Amino acid sequence: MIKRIDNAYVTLFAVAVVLCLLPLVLSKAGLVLATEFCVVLAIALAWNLLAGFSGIVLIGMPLFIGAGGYTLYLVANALGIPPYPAILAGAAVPAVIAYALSPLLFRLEGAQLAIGSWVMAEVARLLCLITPAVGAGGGLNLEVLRLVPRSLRLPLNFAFAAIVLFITLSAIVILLKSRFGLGLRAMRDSDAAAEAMGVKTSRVKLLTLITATALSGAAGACYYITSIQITPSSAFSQNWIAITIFIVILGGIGSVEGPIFGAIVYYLLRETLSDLGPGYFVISGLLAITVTIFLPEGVWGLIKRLIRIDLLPIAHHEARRVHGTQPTITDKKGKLA
Amino acid sequence: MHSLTPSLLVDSVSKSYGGGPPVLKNLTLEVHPGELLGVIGPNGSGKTTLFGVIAGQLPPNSGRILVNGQDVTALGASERAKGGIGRTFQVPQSFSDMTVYENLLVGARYAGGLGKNEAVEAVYSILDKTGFDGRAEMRAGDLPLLDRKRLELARALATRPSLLLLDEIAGGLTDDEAMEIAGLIKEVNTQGIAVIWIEHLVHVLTSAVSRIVVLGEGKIIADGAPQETMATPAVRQIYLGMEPELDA
Repeated sequence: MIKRIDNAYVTLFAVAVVLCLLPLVLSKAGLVLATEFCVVLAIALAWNLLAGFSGIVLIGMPLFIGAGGYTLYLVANALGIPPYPAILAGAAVPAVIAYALSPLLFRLEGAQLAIGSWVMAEVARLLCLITPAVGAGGGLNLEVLRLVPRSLRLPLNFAFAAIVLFITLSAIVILLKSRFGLGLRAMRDSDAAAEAMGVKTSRVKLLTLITATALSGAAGACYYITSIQITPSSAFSQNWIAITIFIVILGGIGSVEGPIFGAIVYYLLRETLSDLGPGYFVISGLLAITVTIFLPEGVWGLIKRLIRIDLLPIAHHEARRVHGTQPTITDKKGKLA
Repeated sequence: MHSLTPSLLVDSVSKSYGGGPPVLKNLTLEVHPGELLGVIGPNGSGKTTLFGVIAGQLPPNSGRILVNGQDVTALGASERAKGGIGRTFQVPQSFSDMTVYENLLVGARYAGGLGKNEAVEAVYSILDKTGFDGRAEMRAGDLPLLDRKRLELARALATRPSLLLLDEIAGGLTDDEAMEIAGLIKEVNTQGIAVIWIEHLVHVLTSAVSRIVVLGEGKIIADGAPQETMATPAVRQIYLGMEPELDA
């Protein structure tokens, strides 16, 4: 019997193929843009995992993006190595910070959590501004980039951003399709009922936070390799979260595909309308408002309604019943229910 | 007389919210394996708080909760679910964006502790028994009230409980629907699961349970066989709002 291949793995394979082909078909400017696209999409996917799937609306996400960037600079410069291996540290340190802050973050809910995490990002920015070890207001330069031949920088920057994006997307899909994802989605609908079903929601929230911040940190690290310099104001900028929310809302919050389509629309708008100056922001704002009011499921929700397709399905479906197996429900004492 | 370890022992439990007056006052209750116990009482008598304390959603101020002889007082709700306490909620709290099948799968995989294939088989079995066969792929949020109540019960069964807490599961249903749910509960109980059932529909409850506990102001004011318990003066006065019939 031929087993049907899950759409999600087909889509992941297609994404991998597209990412591999891009350097062959894009110009230098196109590759720069594609690198930024990968970074921004990875961050949007990670934020959507938090806000869309577990209800953790973390407006302070720039804290972890900036921490990823700063970690990469500090580690690579200190060790005197090319920056790329330091992306791993750029993922690890934000995850550790998230773990350390989690007792405080999870004492807050809803708007309090949103504002509280924003304040944390601001505090991180101010701390960096007054700390000479991280370059204070002037920030840091990526000295070790000179170890990478100039001709290789652009393709390597893209390659690592693409790897981070692919890992982010795959990790999120695999996570959501697993038992963990089942608990996560249950928790999104009802914390109390999820607990009553045996889901330890505090652990699910913590693991989700750590995963999302590690992925965002890695993406941030990739971004700041391309910028050669990092400053507190850029690293912890609220622009990061503004763009992320715009992409996630536009594409469709709470679906894996949503941020992908949101990012495509965002970059199409930006690349075609940014010459309009303030007009571009007005159009973007109006679009966001329109989508929020008339299309709460986002662009992906509309596409899905029209052509009934699941590119990255995460739901568990009732499968064909296995005949010949006696189904039993036994309680903890081994009694037949 | 019961010689077995009780399925549940609520031992001298008190509970108050904030600095307010106690909602449960030094309450002690024992439920035996396979027992189907009804709990009634006026609004504010502490019924739902009692369930919250038993299921681990609310920590008691004092006292202990023992399940199958084990002290679970310090455990949270998820650990207690894994330890055999299944519960439903007064207002159905289905995982509305998930399918009926997935709603049950959560309980089977987490509290039930079943592997993927075992969980799938257990879920199929419960879907059949609870009348969801053929509708497993429906979104839970799209179900009518009776089915959402039924889903509450099915989902609790998926946790493979030894003790089932039902909080007004027949509330809001028509008489026929309520009796249908009652039949399902009796069937579950006959298969060995101890059940505590809070219900306002007394006639539905008395048709199913073997024992009734009446709560009033956080205390047990009557406990016994349904007909006798409902006839006691204290119950008639406090719960039914009737004057006690004085002995001649």
